[in-house]
Amino acid sequence: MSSGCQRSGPGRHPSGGPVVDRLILPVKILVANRGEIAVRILRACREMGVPSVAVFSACDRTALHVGLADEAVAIGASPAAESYLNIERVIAAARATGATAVHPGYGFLAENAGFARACGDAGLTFIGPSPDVIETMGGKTAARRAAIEAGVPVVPGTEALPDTLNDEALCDRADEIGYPLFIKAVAGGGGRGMRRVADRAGVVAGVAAARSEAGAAFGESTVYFERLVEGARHVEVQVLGDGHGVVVPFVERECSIQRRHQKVIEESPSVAVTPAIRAALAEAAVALSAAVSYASAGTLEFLLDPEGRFYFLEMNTRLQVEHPVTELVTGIDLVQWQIRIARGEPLTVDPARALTAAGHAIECRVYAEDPDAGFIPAPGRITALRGPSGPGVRDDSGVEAGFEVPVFYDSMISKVSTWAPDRAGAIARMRSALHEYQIGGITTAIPALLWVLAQDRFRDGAFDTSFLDRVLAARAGESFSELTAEQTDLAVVAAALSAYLSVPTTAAAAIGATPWRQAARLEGVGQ
Amino acid sequence: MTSTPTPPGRTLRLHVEIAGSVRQVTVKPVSVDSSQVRVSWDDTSYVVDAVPRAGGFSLTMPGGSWASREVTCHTVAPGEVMLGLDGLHVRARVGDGRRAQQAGAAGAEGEHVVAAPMPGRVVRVSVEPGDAVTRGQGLAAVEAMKMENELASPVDGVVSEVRVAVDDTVEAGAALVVVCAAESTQGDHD
Repeated sequence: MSSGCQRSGPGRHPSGGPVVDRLILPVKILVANRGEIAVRILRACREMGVPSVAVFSACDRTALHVGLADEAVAIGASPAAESYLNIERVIAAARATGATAVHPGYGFLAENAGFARACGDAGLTFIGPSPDVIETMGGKTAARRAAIEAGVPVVPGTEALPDTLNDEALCDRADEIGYPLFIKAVAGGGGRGMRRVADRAGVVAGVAAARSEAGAAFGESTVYFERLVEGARHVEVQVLGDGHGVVVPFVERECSIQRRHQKVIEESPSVAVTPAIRAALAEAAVALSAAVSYASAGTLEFLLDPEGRFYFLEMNTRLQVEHPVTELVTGIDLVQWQIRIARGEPLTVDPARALTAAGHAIECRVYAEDPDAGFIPAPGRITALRGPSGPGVRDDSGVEAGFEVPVFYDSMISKVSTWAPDRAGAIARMRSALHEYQIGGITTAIPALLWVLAQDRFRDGAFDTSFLDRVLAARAGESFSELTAEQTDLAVVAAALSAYLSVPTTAAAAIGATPWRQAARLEGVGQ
Repeated sequence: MTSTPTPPGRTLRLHVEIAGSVRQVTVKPVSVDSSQVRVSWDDTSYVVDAVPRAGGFSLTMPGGSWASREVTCHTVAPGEVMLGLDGLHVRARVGDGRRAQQAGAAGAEGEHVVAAPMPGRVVRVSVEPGDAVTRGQGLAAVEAMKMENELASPVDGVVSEVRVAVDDTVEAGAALVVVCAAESTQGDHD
């Protein structure tokens, strides 16, 4: 899966594909994001010989992405609202550096139609679909309507529920949909503003809770009802569109391993998708995205029920966190294609290649959190870091040793992806890679990821979207770091040695510590 | 192995507590000019070669099991370290015994300090001094990394102190609220 050792200049086709005689616009890209996804996009810029600009907040001054860009601009204080979410400052940074395009990554301003519009107004190319498409597909009920019009099946549900409906009317609408059902926020995402309701008695309280959570999270409290599909898996279809009606669908990703509606482990292909289902999913994805003349990369999320029926859920009008698994099984670089589409190149991706998984890929999200303390966030300074490597292993990391993982942003610090000819091989490689991953100074989700990878149900591929929450609830209070007798002895030895050697366990002491400097210090102590 | 540091040439006796069980551990150098130390407790004894690295150390056991591991290590509280070993996290208390007793004595007077579990920003304070609270009742909430963590009272009692206000930035372990347990120490008097 390596990208080869040839280096292409600007305007050339890195894949060695056919040379196209069309004017390719020179671009200079400002990456309006941070962390691993900023690093990912900046790498693509470098590979393509495209000049790049990073932006950073106060606490990200020394972040990895800042050093990978050609230029970097400070855009404000650490809270996201004063930096990465501040449209005026991001646009001003683009103007100041002469950037011609903006890549929003995911999160922050990626699905903000107002930002896409502001980019256009400032003469900048927004790397993504048009503001109108973001608006249509970003609102969950509007996207459902578009799907119904395109003939794509959707989960039975309501339109947005007006705040003026009284309790009686709310319950009646819920009865029409049937139970169990989900109350979902129109502006929702990441499981916020979402409530499961088992019967009529739970409707009123559920709506109140969902509205309050959605209001706090998105500034928009409107909700709607959607039937809960029992035993459903989450599968999604990546597409690339040229904005003129040409849309290429990709082989599906399976993202059913979720904790509280947050994806944790993703893979491609899905063990539950047959060639017939794959073809039907692709057809639905194309029908819906071609209907809106979709441009750039996007993802259509579906529920797949145990009988193989699927229902459109929503579309993410941006690059997804889990895009690497698609890149690993197809060999197609999605970020480079976003840039190529943005600079006016025709979409020449081979549709057969895009829809065929060569081998199997898995991604694990490494969150800075303490799995043994209810997965609470664990920001802090990284004192030691060595990522996994080797054949079939890809580590998309946004951090390095000495960096202080900030409290202000999402806790995902890295994504580990592995590829192998088959699923069992990819899982074995992932377990090895996570064992190899050393992150000192903070705790991460790695022990919990290793535990999931070892479960029979996971290895057999026999799971739905409720699997992880269920098995986690069943083992609540137990540590994910269960030690063998040998590991316990090793831990006792290590704990004693940490005191004996006075290992530099404070953040300041760890920076720049080398065995030699350490040795000198210890010799000093010993005298 | 010229880069191998010489450990302090002294014998150290430590209490090491992992997963609730305490071991009296002795660490002593095997010889004056060797990086090898003997770590022993109860009827267990290992000879270990340990080389410090940034954020941790590499250890091998040249004899017996021949185990070879790279361990990360950071202090999470006074006398408490978090070890990274084989992709797992191991919390260990290490001390000379006196400190462990002090830690055990904290809060014995019926005062329960509710502390921030991680650094972050206080987004809600739900109680005032003098408020009666029940076990499990939310006292305050701290937000970090877009996640809100509600902190609940560990006991039935009365709030004796509120040490933070909304929008304060707090470090991990910072005391937020102090609750004085109700008369009955069992807490299930209803």
